[in-house]
Amino acid sequence: MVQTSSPASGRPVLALGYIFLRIGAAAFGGLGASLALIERELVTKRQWLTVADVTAALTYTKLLPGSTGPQVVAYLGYTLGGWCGSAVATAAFLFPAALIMLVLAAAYVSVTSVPVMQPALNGLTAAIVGILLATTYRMGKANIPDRLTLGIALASVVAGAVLGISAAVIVVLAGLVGVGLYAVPLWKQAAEEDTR
Amino acid sequence: MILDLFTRCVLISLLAFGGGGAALPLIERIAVAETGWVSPQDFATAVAFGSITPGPVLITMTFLGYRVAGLVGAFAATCGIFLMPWALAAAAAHLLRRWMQHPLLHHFGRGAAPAVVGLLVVTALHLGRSTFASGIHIGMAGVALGLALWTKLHPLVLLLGGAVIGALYGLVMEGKTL
Repeated sequence: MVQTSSPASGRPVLALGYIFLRIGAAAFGGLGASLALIERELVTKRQWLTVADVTAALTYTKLLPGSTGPQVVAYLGYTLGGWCGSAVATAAFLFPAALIMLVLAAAYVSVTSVPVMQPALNGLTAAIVGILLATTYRMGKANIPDRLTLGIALASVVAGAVLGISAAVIVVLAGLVGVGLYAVPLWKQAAEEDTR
Repeated sequence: MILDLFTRCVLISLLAFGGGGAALPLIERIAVAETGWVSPQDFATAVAFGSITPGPVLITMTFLGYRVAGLVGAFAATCGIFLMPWALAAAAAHLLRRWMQHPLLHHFGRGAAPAVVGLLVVTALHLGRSTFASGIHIGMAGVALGLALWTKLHPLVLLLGGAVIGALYGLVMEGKTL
């Protein structure tokens, strides 16, 4: 962390917008691609940031809820240009994808009226289910290290699929279970050390 | 309606511990199962488009917002899903490490992340139940799962393959026309 740039070093906001617009338009393949492009554009080519900046951005935003890619951009945008730089960088990063999605959404209705589209979409959905399960497996490997977390995952499957409990409620309850089970022993330990 | 769409997107974004993929089951639960705003197929198509466009997969919400309430809906949904995560990330850069390593937030995430993994399974089940017309679709999902896990094929290839096989199946077995 020694080599991190000082916050809000005041890079021109317009230049930031242009750079992140280009990154946003080329970042096919999600977070991995975004990070690679950010590193090439801002660390290697322009040297506005160091690798340690990018690592810090990734580490801290991973703890936060939300989409990690835009959050890394928001974090680095702040480092380069304060709140305004962060807003411009994030909006520019999202703009190309949002525009493409709008065009696809507008064309969707006229495309789906073709009879053969229905079975084609069913096939597409089948592929999506497979890809989703692969994502589930990868996320499970990263986030289910022990029996306790496995129990939480299985309980949320039952709560969602069988009991039909709202997803928001399930996530909040699971988070609270995490706080209760992991944090309370730590406090007790700390309290015991204090009294000693 | 627009306000409801916006607030639900904000809620989804705040519960997505573990990145953008973590929000997908929440979006499916809330936009398809709990409100009936879009059909399961709309959702599947939106996710497909969201994963082949550049940038984050959560741009899916732009598509869904448009399906729910046109241009205004698309704007409200996009802002809703990215606003708070942006504010939090910029604030994290502002406060740097002071709050970010707070153990409570860390433990909350440790508990919430596996729940999100469980909800992904629920979403896959739900999508499968509503669109699998026959055994061939289950087989295709299995093949897609295997290819996604063990090869480096781009998701785009899998999605296109699924669509083409599905269309051929429709033409041959169900007598659909172009």
